[in-house]
Amino acid sequence: MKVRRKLREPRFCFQTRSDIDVLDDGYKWRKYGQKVVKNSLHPRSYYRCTHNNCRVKKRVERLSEDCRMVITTYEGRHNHSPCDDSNSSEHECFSSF
Amino acid sequence: MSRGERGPMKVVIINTQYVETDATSFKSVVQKLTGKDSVVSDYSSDHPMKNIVSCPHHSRLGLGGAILERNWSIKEFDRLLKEMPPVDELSRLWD
Repeated sequence: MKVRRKLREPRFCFQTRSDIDVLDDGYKWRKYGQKVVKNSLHPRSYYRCTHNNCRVKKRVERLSEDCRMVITTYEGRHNHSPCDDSNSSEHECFSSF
Repeated sequence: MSRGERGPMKVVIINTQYVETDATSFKSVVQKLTGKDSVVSDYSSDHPMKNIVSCPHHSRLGLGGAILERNWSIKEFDRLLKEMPPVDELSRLWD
């Protein structure tokens, strides 16, 4: 029996303590799905990067054992710079003034 | 498992790296790992994942060196987290 192996883009699974579900990561996203998670009160939401031709996806859910924790899982790498501009005040910026 | 007319079996390999951050460093770490100029390349299978990329308060999670092996499911990660001391206590232990 032939077996075809397919390697997907690596995923990065972030765990962060936050009240906000969707943390600002400097990119723009559009939600395309939501799913009930077994044994959890919190659904999982699916987002796609809105930039032209960028195929990065992410999913957001809460840890069922500790609902203070948000799990954000990214798949893929952006082919563009982050979208955040000078209007974000909490931007960590290392440029010289 | 008889495949019949469904063709050869397809195996999808997904490598997942686990990262712990706090809310303030979230943005920079995400951009570092998933951004356009990200230097994180695909790990070969003999590259054990021991480090967590994170904010300065968290260095290595050195619990027995078995942490952060790749391909853990969320369920296994959940169980690990349940057994861990709270994060505040952890950072005191690390320093």
